[in-house]
Amino acid sequence: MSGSFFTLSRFALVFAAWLFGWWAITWVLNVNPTFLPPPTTVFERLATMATVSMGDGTLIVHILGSLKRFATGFALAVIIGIPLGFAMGYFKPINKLVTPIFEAIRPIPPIAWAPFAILWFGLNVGAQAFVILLAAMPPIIINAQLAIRMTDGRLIDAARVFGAGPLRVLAEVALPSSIPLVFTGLRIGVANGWMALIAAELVAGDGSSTGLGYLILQGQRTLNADLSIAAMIVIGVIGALLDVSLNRLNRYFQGWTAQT
Amino acid sequence: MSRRMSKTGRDRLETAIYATISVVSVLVFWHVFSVHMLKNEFILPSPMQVIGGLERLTLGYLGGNLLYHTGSSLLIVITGYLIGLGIGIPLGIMMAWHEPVNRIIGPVVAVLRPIPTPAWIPLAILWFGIGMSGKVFVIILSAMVPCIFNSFTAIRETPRELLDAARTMGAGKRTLLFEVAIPSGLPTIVAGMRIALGNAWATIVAAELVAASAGLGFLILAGYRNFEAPVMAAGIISIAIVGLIMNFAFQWFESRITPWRESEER
Repeated sequence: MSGSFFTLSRFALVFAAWLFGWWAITWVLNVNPTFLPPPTTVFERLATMATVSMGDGTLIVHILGSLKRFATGFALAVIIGIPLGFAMGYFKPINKLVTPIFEAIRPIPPIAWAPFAILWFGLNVGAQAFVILLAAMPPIIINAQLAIRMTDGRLIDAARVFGAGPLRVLAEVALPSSIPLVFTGLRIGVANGWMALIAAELVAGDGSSTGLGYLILQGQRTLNADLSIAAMIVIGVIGALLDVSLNRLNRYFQGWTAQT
Repeated sequence: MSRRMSKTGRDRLETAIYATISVVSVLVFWHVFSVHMLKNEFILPSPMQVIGGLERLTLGYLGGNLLYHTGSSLLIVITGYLIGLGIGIPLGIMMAWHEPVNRIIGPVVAVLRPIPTPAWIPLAILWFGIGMSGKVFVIILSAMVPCIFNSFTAIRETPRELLDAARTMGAGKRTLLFEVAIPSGLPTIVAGMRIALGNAWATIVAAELVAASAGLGFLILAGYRNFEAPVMAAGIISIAIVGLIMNFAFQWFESRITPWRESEER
């Protein structure tokens, strides 16, 4: 415990030194703050963002706006992706029918769909959620499919010996044993979706004045690099928090299967 | 993957039949839906209209033909990608091999890593303008991060037995790194390069959608602005094709540089 505290404080110390270096460069070279503001300005901005309204509101409004888009797209990806992946893993014909389409769409970066998404769903949550859906779904489908196919054959045989039919094998053997892999897919999906959210807000954000991507873009348009950097920090922190909490959950699920 | 799964010729034939059925039925449904039901080529062009859009692109659209725009995107991606590898792989290896480097650089990498690369695009425009250098900067970032991470992991996870065996035979620190740790970690490093390539390709499309005057992402945006959905769709298809070609090229490269990996997988 004291070891990790030591590591953490060393980490903080080194990081503070880097911040000091950043500050020293802007101060010694007298860098134009439009171009690269000193870290102090960025921290001030972070503090004012929380209280002063920009666009549609204060920082919390933008965070919630982004999270809402993310949640919409991600929920759709889960609702479509997991059943589709399971079906592909359990029924060979479905796998063979869906795979060619899936492989044809996969090399297209999700953000490339953004302009079409705007045409189809209008300049609102729908367009951004569509891009997030496309980004988050592939790893969810792949892992759900893999999880079913990798079900331990001995478990299936054992269930069959006790007289379980194919549907019961699916519901009571394959599905429960698939949970850890499915969860890994969800984790990758969250990371992909979070990245796509920011891209979608930058590309399909015209007309909207909410969201963390909007704040970054606004910083560039009004020549306030400090605003862009502050918004990037918030995005990074939320992304890291999502990752850490999913990691925790992941450990729980992995442990859960180890016991069964 | 799916090709490797199919062991017998019959299975392969079955896969081909299913693939044909699915692709043909999607095309037929798309055609019927767009031509007979939706009847709005501004929202969803029919397959034939998309082929028309591809034709328009090959004849030249906003500054050059399809090759020109593809070349413009590829030039930026390859430049940024190579620089990203050139910085990321050695940095990741050094961080894993020399603890002081890790202690100094590690905190910065850890803080920058969770920021999605597209978030850098506006800042890059502010710093470098909307020309090529700003995009190269963002591509470098997108390629560098997975390379640092994977190279670091690759070196850190060198099997102890290998290091110990080499050490008993009198290998020095340099030999240990270049002849044991790096070769044994090569598959992981190459995997990082693969992730980096995908990231770079997705990032260039995003960057060109935000601000550009050439490139495949720019074509999609231009099609959108000019109410030419067939051009947009043709742009997306071009992106898919170039992406696929890059994937194949990388697979070839991977099988050359780590030929033993393939045999392990089977």
